[in-house]
Formats: sequence, C-alpha cells, structure tokens
Amino acid sequence: MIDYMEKVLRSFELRTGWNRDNSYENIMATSENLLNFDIPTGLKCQVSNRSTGNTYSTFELSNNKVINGSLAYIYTNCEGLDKYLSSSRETLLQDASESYRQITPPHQYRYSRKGFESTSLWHGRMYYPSSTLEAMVVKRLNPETQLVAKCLSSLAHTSVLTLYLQKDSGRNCQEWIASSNEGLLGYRILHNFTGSQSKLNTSLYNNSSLSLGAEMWFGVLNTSPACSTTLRYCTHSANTGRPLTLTLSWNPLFGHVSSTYSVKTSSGATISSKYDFNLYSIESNLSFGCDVWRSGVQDIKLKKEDSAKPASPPSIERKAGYPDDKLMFYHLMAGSSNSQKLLDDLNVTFAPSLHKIHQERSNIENYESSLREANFTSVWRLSTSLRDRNLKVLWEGKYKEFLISAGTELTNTPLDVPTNSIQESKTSNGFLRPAKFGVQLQYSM
Amino acid sequence: MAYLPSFILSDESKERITKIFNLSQTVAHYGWLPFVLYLGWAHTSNRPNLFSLLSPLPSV
Amino acid sequence: MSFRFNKATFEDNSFNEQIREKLTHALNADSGSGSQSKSANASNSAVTDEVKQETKGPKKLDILKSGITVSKVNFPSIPQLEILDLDLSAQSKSLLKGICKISCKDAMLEINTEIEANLLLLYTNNGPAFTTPRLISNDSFTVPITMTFDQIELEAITNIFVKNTSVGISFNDVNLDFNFDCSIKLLQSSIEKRLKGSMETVFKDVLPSVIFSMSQRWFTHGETTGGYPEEKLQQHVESQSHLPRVILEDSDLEDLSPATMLRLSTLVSSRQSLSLNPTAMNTLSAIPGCLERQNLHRFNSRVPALSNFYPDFHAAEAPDLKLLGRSVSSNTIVGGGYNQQLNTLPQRVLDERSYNLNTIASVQSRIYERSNGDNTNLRRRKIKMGGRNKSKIQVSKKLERKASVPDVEGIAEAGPPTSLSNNAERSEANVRNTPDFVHSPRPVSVAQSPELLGENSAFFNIPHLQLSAKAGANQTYPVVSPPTPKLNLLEEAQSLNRRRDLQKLRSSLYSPMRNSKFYVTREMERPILEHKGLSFVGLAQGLKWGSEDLPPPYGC
Repeated sequence: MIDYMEKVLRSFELRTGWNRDNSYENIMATSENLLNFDIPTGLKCQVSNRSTGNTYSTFELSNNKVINGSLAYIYTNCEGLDKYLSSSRETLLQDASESYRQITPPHQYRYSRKGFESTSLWHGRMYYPSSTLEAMVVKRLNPETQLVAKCLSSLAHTSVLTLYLQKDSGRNCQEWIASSNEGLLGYRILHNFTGSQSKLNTSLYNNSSLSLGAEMWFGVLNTSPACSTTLRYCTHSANTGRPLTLTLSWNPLFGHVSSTYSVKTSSGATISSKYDFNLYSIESNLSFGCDVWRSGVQDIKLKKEDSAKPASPPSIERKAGYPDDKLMFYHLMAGSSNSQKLLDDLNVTFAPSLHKIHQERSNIENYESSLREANFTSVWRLSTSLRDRNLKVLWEGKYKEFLISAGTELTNTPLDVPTNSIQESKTSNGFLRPAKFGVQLQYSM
Repeated sequence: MAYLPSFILSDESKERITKIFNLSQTVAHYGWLPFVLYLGWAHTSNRPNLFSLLSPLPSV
Repeated sequence: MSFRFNKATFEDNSFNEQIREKLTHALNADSGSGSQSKSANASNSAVTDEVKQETKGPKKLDILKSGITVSKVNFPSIPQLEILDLDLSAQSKSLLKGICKISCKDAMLEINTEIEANLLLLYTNNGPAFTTPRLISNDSFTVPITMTFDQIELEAITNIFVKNTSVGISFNDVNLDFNFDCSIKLLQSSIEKRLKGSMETVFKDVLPSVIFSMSQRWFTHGETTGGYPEEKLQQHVESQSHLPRVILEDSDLEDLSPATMLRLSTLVSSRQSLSLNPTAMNTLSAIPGCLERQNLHRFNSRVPALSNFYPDFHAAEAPDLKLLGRSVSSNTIVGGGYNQQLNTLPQRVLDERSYNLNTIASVQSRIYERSNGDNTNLRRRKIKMGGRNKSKIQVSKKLERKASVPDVEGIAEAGPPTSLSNNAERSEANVRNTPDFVHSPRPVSVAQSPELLGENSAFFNIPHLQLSAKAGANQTYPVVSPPTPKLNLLEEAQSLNRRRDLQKLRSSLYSPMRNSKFYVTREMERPILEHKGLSFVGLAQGLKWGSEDLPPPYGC
C-alpha cells in the first residue's frame, strides 16, 4: 500500500513531468513489487488530510510492542495535484497499491517544456517518542533536472544527509548521489535504446522499450565498492496485448546474476519469477510471486466513471494529452493540400499492415483500458523464495472508506537465532511459523 | 572539527564552532516542521488558522 | 588460591580436542547474543586471545554469516605455568596475591568461518531506509574463510589477586607471537594488522574483565546446589577424581569454592612466621579453628577415647591398624602409615584388670555427648553377660571409628608414631594446670557453645576418673569384652546418632565465621589437611562444601 505522503510525492512528480520509471533505481520495480513487497508490522493506522490547497498532513499511530506515532507535513507550491490525488473513498485500488509497473516508452512520454515552472516540495515527518526527523526537499530545477535532499536527523544518533541530483533527458537518465552515511558516493545511469520508434521496428506500432542501466557506488569511509548493470525489456504480447517485463542484471564484483520475468497474465493477475545465480559461489535462488485482483460490483464503477475521471492513472492521462493516434505518420501531414491525397494512397497501399497495426494497438489499448476501468476491491499477493524458505502473504483491499492491508510472513527458520550461531544447521523442521504480522489502516480525505 | 590542525583553529574556536553546529542542528531539527507549516500557511491565500493547518484529522 | 595442575592432562591428545570443543563453544557464544553465560569460558586458555578479538574487530556489523568452528588445535608441548611469587598477606580484603608466568610454545590453531564479502550490503542494510538509496542486485555474498595461527608463542607475566568475591588478574608483560595465515590473501594483511593492533586491549581490558566477571559468577553461584545429598556428592567425587580434567569451564571452577580458598590461605598464612616455636604451648593451634600438625597428638589426647586414660599401658603397644578392619577415611591420596588412635583399652590394662567401669562409662557418655549436641539424654541399656561379647566388640569398634580423626591422619607422616604416653602425660598436666584449656578448639559460633560446656565439664573429671581406675584394678576380664557383672551399671550407648562425632568436632575445629554467602560442605575437609608444603595445598576436585560448615576466619 502506498502511503498518502508517498502518493503526494508521486503526484508531484507526475504533475511536473518527471518519469519515475525512467530511473535506474526503479528498473526492477515490477519484480520488487511482486516479490519483495512490504509487510506491515504490528497495527498501524494512518489518517491523512489535505489541510489546505498546498499542504498535506498525515498522522500515524503504530503499535509494534510500543506505541509510536508520527506527524508528517508536506508543503508544495505545485498547483493542480488534486487531479492525481484522491481520497481513500474514491481512489482505485490499483492506484493505491503497487503492482506491475507499466513502462511507457520514452518516445510516447513527452512533457511540455513550455509551461515549466520551478516547483518544489517540502516534506517533514517527526517520529514520536524518539523525535527523529525525516526531512526532504524535492526541487525541480529545470525540465530535465530534479534535486532531492533527504535528511534523517536525530539528536541521539548521527544524522544522515543524502543528496540526489537527477537529470532525465528522456533517453538518458543520470543520477549523482552522495550520502553522508559511510560517505557513500554513487552514480547511476539508464539509457533507453528505443528512444525513437524508427529503431527496432519489428512491429510498426512499437510499444516496447529496451533499457540498459548501470550503477557504481563507493563507500568512502569503508572503502567498499559496489556496481551492477541491468538490462530491461518491456513489451506487450502481440496477440493479447498483455504486458511483460524481462530484466537481467549482473553484479560484476560479486558475480551475481539475476533475471526476472514478470507478466500480467490477465487484467486481474500478475506473475513474477526471479532467478538468482552467483557465478563464484554457485549459489542460486528461485523466487516466485503473484498477485490476484478481485473486482467488485460493476455499478460502483459506472458511477465512478463520470465523477472520477481525473482519478484515472496519470500515465494514461499523459498519453491522452498527446496526439497519440497520429503517432505513426505525423511527419507526413506537412500542410499541403495534396498531402491528403498522398495519405489516401498510402492508406490504400499499406492497408493490410495498417490494419494489423490498428489491431495490435487496439488489443493493447483495450487491454489497458480494461485494466484502468476495472474496479478492484481486493488483491492477494503471495511470494515465496526457495533459499529463504518463506512465504509472504499480503491482502490489500478497500473497505468502506479505508484502505486496508494485512499481511504475514511465514518462515521456518528460527526467528531469534542470530545468523552467526552454530545451531543454524539443525533448523528446518518442516512447518512454517509467522515471522511477521501486521495490519495497516489508511484513511485519507 | 577534530581533524583540523590546531594552527588553523584554536581550541576555543573549535569548541565554539562545535557548539554552534550543534545548536543549529537542534534548531533545524525542531524547526523543520514549523517551517514546512509556515510555508504552507504563507502560500495559502486565505491564511487558514493554525489549527486547521496542524490537524491531521480531516473533519475540520 | 588452590588448584591442581594436572600435568597428565596435557600429555595426550584429548587435551587438544577439549580445547577445540570449548573454543568453538566459547567463540560462538561470544559472537552470539552475548547473554549466554558460557561466553567467557575459554579465557582461561591464553591461546584464545587471538581468536577472540578477531570477532571483535568488525563486530558491530554482523559480518559473520555462520558460526565459528575451530577445526584444529595443536599444542605439541605442555603450557607452562610458573609461580614466581605468592603473597598471602591476609589483609582485610585481598586474600592472595600472586605472580605467575604463563608460557606456551608452538601451538597451532585453525579457525573456519564465513564472512560477508559484500560490505556495502551490510552498511546499506544498517542505515536508515529513508536516506539510504536503493541498490540494484546487491545481494549478499558469503565467503568461507580459514585462518591459521601458527607457532603461537605466548609468554605473559600475570598478577593475580584473589579477593573476597572475585579474582582479579592483570597481564603485565605479554609477549605474543604467531604466524598468521588467511585463506583470503587479500584480507590477510589487514586482518593481521587488526589482530596485532587490538592485542593490547585484549590483554588489558577484555581478558581481565572477562575473568573478573566469570569469577564473580562462580564465587556466588554455587548456592543453588547447597542441599545436595551427601551420598550423591560422594559418588560424584569418586567418579570425578579419576578423570584427568582441565579446568576451563566455570562449571569446573565452581568446585573451587571461595571457602576453600579462604581456609587454605589462612592455613598457609598461619605458617608464615619467623618464630621458631610458632604455636603456644598450651593451645592446640595459633589460629582458632585450625589444627596444626605438631599439635595433633594433643588434640588426639583430648578426644574422649578409652586409650587416653591409660597412657602408661598404651605406650607399649604398637598401633594396630588391622584391628580396625577398614580405613576410616576414604582419603586414598595419603595411603602411607599414619598414627591411628585406637579407641580401645590397652591390652595391658585388660590383662591387669586395672580399669574402672566408671571410667569407661564416662568416656562412652562423653563420646555420646559429643556425637549429638542436642539435649537427648544418654540412655544405657543393660547388657547381660555371656553371648553379648560380640555386640560389645562392635560397639567398641564404632567408638573407635568415632574417636579416630580421619582428617588428621592425612597430616601424619610415615615417621615413627608419636609416643602417646608423653602426650597423655602432658595433656594431663594441662588439664590440671589450666582449667579452661579447652579454648583451643573453641568455636566462634554461638551454636556450638552448649556442647563446649559439656565438654568442659567432662574434662574436669579426668583426674578423678583416673584415680578410680586404679581402684578397680583387681578385676579380670577378656580382652575386648569389658562387660562385667558390674556391667549393669553401664548402659550401652545404643542410640548413638548417625552423625559422627568428628563432624561436631570439626565444626568447632574450623571455627567458622558465619557468613552464609559462602557455599561450603563438610566433605571438603579431608583435602584441607592434606597440605604437603608451605605454599601449596593439594585439593581434590569436585568436592563441595556443605552450607553448614564455614570457612575459617582470616586476618584475626
């Protein structure tokens, strides 16, 4: 379940035209969402509110052995976020829950550079009773750059400051990161090969994207390096229009190779699998995760159709703003009168292929619209891993005006035994025990 | 401050700088949320009262 | 401080195996939660030092991914322990100070474990999630690592302070040298550097504090086993005494009770005098509660026994051990000749019929009084003559056993038996001259005083009894059957308590400072008197002190 504050941040990014998926950090977002989803611990209640037009607040109480609370406030000078934000009563479950990330090819994703204003977002969250402060400032410097400063300040422990400078030119996204924690310095880059549709034209209607990214890290204080490189390919199956994502990442330092395959098999189900393999130690791991969405009654959906138009997923919103239909041949429409004739000729000539394109695209778009308009009421998520021998179960759903997520993690490894104890070998006695259990309630207005 | 050689900074000034640093950190720590709220208050046209700004409860 | 350095333990390979097991155990407990009580076990062995701080260096992040196993331990030569100085000055607090030199040579140690090679993973996992950037494909990568310590040579001079409740130790002059070999060559130099760098803190802080806390634990720990049945203890002791054991675990060290140390140090310190005649003439010992070897005969002469009243007759007889049938003491360590006091009438007395039944009766009643200090009255049973001889023999044997001093025989050496007649004469003189001579075994404890009084009054009768013994010299009876027609005057001490006479005697002997904190059993008494030299007292292991028996006073 995405927190309200996180949703505000994402709305801010959407509003200012920042593509979250075009970052190397989120290159494996789909499989992460499906395999390593977060499970709440204890009982957690969140009440969120948009107090004024520019400020948002969240109050959270959690009971995990002791009662903790936090107060969070966000101020942003970016107008028009309400188009992307909705209260927990109106929001769609697929917007509130993280699942399959549909990657929009960058050539379809253009944000208007004309009306860009330098906007910023200020976030502060104070935890009680430890009085730890999370502070964050996100500033859009220009259409291509964003500066993020995150700070964790606590009076008892050392404070950590992390700075992100991100530059996204569509085809390339570069990030420079510096963190005061262990003096960590990092650079990551993501390159999209299908920046324009003319390349890799196996199909004329090209909705696939191929991206290659890399990251390099160096901890100055502990002199430990890290690096990895990842290839991601997203496409839609031509027949059914179902999206699938493949990633292959490699850590050359430690010889770690992991490949994931995620596919949305229907509008209500996603399957992801991940295979890890270490070239040096020949250790391997196979993880599997899926989610199943259950839709509710149809009339609520129809009622929402009218009112909640702005609540539709923003990626679609963006696409709708762009003359998508003329994507293939807009360069042919060069003003002159006989161009129409040429167009007709072309239409006749390429009729079969155009028809094919249309069919493909309609497949995909039908699929996407069905996904968008579906009114899901709950989702079950399962993930398991062979090496860790665990099973994670998460249920997320809407009940009345609350967004509820409840989950547990079952494992058969002993809980309290530290990793470096010698009794490790004699564990696995077959049955699973809950290692973690929690319920989260979220209400926002 | 400890890594600076002593000929650059004397002990007292080092101590003073450390004190100032700590003080400013404390101020920033506790002043951050009021600052965010002030920004929200100052940039809202109708200048809402403090309670509606502070309260996370949506009823007001 | 008392210990036995069992050399034989170090000579076979089982020692290495034991070290290996205990090291493995200690290392894993140490790097674990820390709440386990066994954490400090291995600190007795100086060899563990290197290993220990190896886990301490990068400890705060849990770099170890598995348990530490000690795969090989090899001590080709026996570790040497040389005591350079032992100071037993009994100050109020510190009991014993000693300087020891510990050295071992050519030892070898091999350790296996697994470490996390992806350090950045550790750091990012440890950092707060809010500010830590997410890293892709940053999985853990464990590497098995083998560390070999070759040619460990340790030479250390240690100061040991044994105090009331703890042992303090400080390492003064440590020479440690070893060759280090690591399976990951990349890390070898840095690990070695860290090892050598932190060696000082290990010897300065870690080891002393570990030993201190451990000693505190076993000094105050044993109270729970206070009510142990004696038989069980006995078995326990017997079964343990055959096994060569290394004291490495605190369960082993529990056997050395602080009371033992107190007693031993007091005993030993009592001998530290330049005086040629350290003990006063008329007292049994210089310090209350302790019996010294040269005063043993005096003590024996005062023990109520038949033999003490006919010293003149007794002198001619050699002590007949066989008569006893069995050794009273189970102390097999000193098997040599000892001077056994026989609680029988001398042969000559019987032959000449120069005994007095009243004397015998009074001796018996006194034995009975000593044996049970409570107020039960002595009831005598009349015994008819004829056919009852055997039972009388048994009774007399019983008495013999009670009157004999099992502890004391350990002290006695194979030398010629002390002439009893002289002693008895002297003791008689003592009796006459100093009416309150009994102060020597005087118990400090209040609980013993009623018995003492009884004893005291009994001794006043001695001259009288002796006189009357001559009066009845005309009667003739067989050797071991004193019963006579007049025996109806006697009543046999049939209801003799199971408690031994000497237990009472001892509890007054080790005049206790009542301090319930100490954990003592009376089974420990044998070894105490077993000391063979000035500075060392052998101590059998596994013996427990009963909670009723108390340590000797010190510093008074």
